[in-house]
Amino acid sequence: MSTFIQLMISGVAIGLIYALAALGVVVVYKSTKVLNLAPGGLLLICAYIAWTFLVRVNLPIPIALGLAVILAVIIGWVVERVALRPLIGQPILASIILTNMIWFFFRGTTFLFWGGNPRMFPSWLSGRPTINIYGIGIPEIMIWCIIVSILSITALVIYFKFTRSGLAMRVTAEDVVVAENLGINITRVYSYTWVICLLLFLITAFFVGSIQGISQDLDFIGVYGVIVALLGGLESFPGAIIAGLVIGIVQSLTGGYLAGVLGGGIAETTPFIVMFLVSFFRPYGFFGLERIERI
Amino acid sequence: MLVLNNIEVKYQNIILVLRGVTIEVPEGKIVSLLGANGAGKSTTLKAISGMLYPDEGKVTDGSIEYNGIRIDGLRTKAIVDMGIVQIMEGRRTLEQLTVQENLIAGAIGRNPTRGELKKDMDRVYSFFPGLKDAKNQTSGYLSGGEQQQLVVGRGLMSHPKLMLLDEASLGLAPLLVKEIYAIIERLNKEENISLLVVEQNAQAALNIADYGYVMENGRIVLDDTGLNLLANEDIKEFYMGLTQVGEKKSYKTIKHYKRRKRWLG
Repeated sequence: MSTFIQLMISGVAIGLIYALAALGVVVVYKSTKVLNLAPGGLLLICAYIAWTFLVRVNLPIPIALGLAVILAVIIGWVVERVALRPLIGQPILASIILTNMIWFFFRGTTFLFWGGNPRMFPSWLSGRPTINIYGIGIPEIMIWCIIVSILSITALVIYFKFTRSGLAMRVTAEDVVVAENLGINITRVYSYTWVICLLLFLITAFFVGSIQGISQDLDFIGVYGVIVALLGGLESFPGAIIAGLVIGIVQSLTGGYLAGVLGGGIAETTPFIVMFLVSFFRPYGFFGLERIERI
Repeated sequence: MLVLNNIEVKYQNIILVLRGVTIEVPEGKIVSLLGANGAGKSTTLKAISGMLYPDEGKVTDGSIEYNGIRIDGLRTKAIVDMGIVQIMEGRRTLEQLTVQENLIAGAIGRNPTRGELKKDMDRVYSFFPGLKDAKNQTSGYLSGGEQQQLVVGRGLMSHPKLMLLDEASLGLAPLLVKEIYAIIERLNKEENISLLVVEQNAQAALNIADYGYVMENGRIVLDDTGLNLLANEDIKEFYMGLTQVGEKKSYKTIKHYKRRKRWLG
């Protein structure tokens, strides 16, 4: 029983992290209708940047994290401005393929600057002791994972629900032509979306990097992010969160119970199996956006 | 106030939609633009509000001037900031958002303070009391008439001096059309908003218009004061379906009109 609870908690933690990556994809999809295939490369670059400030330059933690945030914002802005903005108005497939190229571009960049070697974040987070609650050992990092994810998701929801630029984003998401017509600055909305996307990726990259180390495997978390977003219906926040939890828990449980029987690769494969099965029954994911039809 | 000087609009550099349209909207007046489907009415409005580019259209000749400043080629945002707002055809409410959010969305471009926003919303609610009761409803579930009120109200939130109204009567019951146009007339009188009204419902538009233009095949074929147009035989026959009662129609008269129309167009 205690193993089960342990696996569930780590599943929830991992699932929320996937959900964050997926929300990055969803945010971009909602307002620009571009399926963002780049999270792999963007997660890598975010992780290596955070590592550089934390370990290589060895700055104090708040300054290092602050600098990482600033750089992530800049990357998000530049990606939108340089790569995607010239393609506004062109067939959407061009933008989607371009995001795929962005993935490989940043992947290549990490090889160029950091040699592609695995690195470790300092142990002040990952090295924390395991907490014992009623005899169930939970690594403290998992708890931080859950707390930070929930805080970020709440912040995101508040931003969208209660601020004006969040409203501008929702307007753009719903009808670009109306948004333009109302005098909303759409290019600015697009910039903001990519910046938010990159901030979410930075948080994801930091936690995944703390748990499993920074290596080219981070790529894979990006792929999971896209899968979770698809499962959740691409346009829905709750969908992405629930899909993230489902994938995280299923992965954690299969890793815990079936890895011994079916081999270690099973945990990496289950997200795809789940995706495959769900797409049989709900090809639009858990929560596609409901179109309002009045009769 | 607004002067369109012999403009020509092409879509995708090939399809010539407007071939020399000249329209003037004087300050504080209501001008209506009539015509059948495909005449180029909506294109004219889009040319003014800078909304041609989503359809890859362009003003290729002539000029559009607003208070003496050329506005053809400007971004929509700049044009909205100058005080021209287009109410698009087909009641484009943001259906997932509430009524209140729809209204705020109309003001985002101006970036007002909280107090101003509140005042603007009260102004809209005073013109459309029905919206106030529904302010927390998802706008997609409103009735057609309320949705039309909402989009007009949303346009009002940007403090326009000139409102371009595209087919406000589309798909509404006659009584609702009357109601909407009564409010539009009030907007003109009380808030001194100039209006360019595009309509297929000639009766509704001409009743409130100071001046009217009739379009056909991308050209203006007729223009006169609203009252004169209402009395015009051709308008009566072709846009209102009124003929002299009791008289038999003969092909001769139709031919006569066709010939004349070709002359004009």
